[in-house]
Amino acid sequence: MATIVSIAGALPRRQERVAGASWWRRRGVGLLLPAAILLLWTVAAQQAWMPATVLPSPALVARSFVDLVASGELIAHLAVSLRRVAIAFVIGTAIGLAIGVALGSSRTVDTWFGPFFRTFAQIPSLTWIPLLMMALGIGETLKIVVLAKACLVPVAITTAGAIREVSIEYLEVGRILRLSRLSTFAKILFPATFPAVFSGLRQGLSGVWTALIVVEMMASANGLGYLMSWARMLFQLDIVMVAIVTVGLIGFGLDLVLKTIDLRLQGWRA
Amino acid sequence: MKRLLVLRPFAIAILLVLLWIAAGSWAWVDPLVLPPLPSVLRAYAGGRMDGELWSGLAASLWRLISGALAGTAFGLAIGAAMGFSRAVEAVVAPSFHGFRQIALFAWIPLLTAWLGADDAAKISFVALATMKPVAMAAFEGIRSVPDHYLDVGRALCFSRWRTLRQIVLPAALPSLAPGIQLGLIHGWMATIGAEYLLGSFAPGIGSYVVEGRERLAMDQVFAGVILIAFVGLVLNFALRALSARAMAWKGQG
Repeated sequence: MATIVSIAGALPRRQERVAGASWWRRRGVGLLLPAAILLLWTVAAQQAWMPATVLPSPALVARSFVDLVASGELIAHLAVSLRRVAIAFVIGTAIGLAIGVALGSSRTVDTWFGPFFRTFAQIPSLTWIPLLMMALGIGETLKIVVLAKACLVPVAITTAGAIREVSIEYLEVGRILRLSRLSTFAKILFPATFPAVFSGLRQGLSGVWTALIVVEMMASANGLGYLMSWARMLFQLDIVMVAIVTVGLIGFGLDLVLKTIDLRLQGWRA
Repeated sequence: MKRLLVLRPFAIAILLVLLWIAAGSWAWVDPLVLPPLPSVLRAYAGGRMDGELWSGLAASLWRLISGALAGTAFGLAIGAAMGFSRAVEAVVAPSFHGFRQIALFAWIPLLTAWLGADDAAKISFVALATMKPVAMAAFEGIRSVPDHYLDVGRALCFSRWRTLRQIVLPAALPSLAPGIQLGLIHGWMATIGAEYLLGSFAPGIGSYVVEGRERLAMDQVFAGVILIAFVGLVLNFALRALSARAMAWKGQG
């Protein structure tokens, strides 16, 4: 059986044979659907199938986008949001790493504290928002706490898991070489856990971004989420759509930054 | 004494509850911030709002079930179409990945503008939340079916239906089951989020919490939040047990 499997694995698959030649064709094909939607949207807006307040035309959305960028309004809201993300990401990562290291490296901590933390971790951050609003008010603290919690959970869980997965042999080599604690960490633990921890950071950042929109919609007077709910209240759907696109682009950009750093730092594996 | 060590996993939770009781009975904290435990428990039975709590929970669960069913069906359809057909993948996948980048709650303003703030908007939102992870999982699950499994089916002249049921489905389940589980968790989060954001006019456990906050009734907020968390945990636990059963065959190989 094993040989059959390995032979089957060695045969070129259909997908691989096709992939090389038609990269451009595939990319072009991928644009078909957005183009079709854009066309349908334009026609629908032009023929006024729906009132313009409900479905603003693509041209209007594009114009609003340019206006909002030119007036600095979009940038200002975005700056506020990104500042919150940055602060919460740093705090959440620090606490998450600390919890993860404690849970991962000590059996005692894990038996006493682990089940509680893992249960708590399953509860989505947004559940706590009304409660925290009562306790902390609706100021900056509330947002940072909610966002930091969204970040620390995946960071802690991936870190704890990664540390536990480090193979005993690696650590034994370190002991044989009489490495100091610091070099054991720098030479063995850090490289071995890094990929998993970094994927936790990426999950954390994307969690922060999702939570940001909710908390800014519920309790804020600035930021992207606020801009959306404010525009929705005035029924300016063109601005809502501009904000949605911005949310998508920034979310993609944030992940891309971490992905690039990840690939750079993991050069040693190649 | 040894036997008490079994309780270790619950130690922190027990400690917190004891602290909570103590804080309530000796008035360490402002009851507006931390209501005493008995008054929170009264919210579940015998309080002036316990009727609202349970009917709200029922309304929320109804939204979750109908939204998650629609979302799962839709997600399976999209994921399967992309998984089975390279052509569909080439056309749909880039748009789908672009769409996936948009943080879920960013859709709320648009959905409410189009569908109003009633169940139509809320259920569509839940469906949207469920659909994303299910579609991804279905796609990856179908793609992960090894070619030589399919070759065996071809060699045995399986019908399409039989290939689907006896080869593709079992092989895709390890990816599919966690995807559906994640979809339901996202669905529950979306149910609560939609109720938090769309005001307290329709019954729902999220609306119950928001309404409690507006009346500064902290016991109501606590009771609601704890129940929401509890339902989420039960869902998670039940689904994990189910998906473990669905994948039992893997253990034998």
